[in-house]
Amino acid sequence: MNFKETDIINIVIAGTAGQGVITLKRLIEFAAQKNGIERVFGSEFYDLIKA
Amino acid sequence: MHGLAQREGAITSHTRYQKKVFEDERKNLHSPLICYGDADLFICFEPVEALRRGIFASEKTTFVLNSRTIPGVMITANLEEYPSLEKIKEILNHYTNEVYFMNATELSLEKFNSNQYVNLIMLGFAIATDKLPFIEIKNYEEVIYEWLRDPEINIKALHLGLEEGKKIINSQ
Repeated sequence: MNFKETDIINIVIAGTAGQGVITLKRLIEFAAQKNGIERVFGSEFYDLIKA
Repeated sequence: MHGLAQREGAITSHTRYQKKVFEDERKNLHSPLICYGDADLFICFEPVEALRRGIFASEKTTFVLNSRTIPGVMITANLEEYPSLEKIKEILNHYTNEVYFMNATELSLEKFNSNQYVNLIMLGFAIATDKLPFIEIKNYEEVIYEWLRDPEINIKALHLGLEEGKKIINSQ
């Protein structure tokens, strides 16, 4: 799939606590900033469930 | 919110980026949250977690999943049943045909004698789908060197995921 430079890219990273979800999210965001990508946003959700 | 996650609790993150912005600000990226059905890529470290956040998927979504399951408390207590990988794939195929599985945990244990590198293997797998455009491998490597412990092993894991991911995607 070819993306245009003005396209907004949306990535969901899902896992369970301790698997490195947040590390990977930040890694992608920092790498995007290194590349000179003009706008990078992220959010994190921590569910309260135990199962 | 930090500090509220429980062991085996579900964690989800949204990452959004736009390489070049329009002059018209109304067309640009402003929110850190993805709209329902607007995800281009799902990176799932646990198969059921893909279903939990399925609302963000649509026909344009590509799923990359770690096939190692982590049954929750209700399942280990025999109160609920964990769905088979075939069932999970069948459900995800209602959104898209681009659903790829890799046992990244097993791969990490086999190659690095540790399951700590699953996330980097999964990143390589995700890059192989071409759904992370514009960011180059060297950008990831720079960040790994700056931010992670044992950067050489993490970079090896990234490249391992990329190679194995390409094989899986090309074989389907």
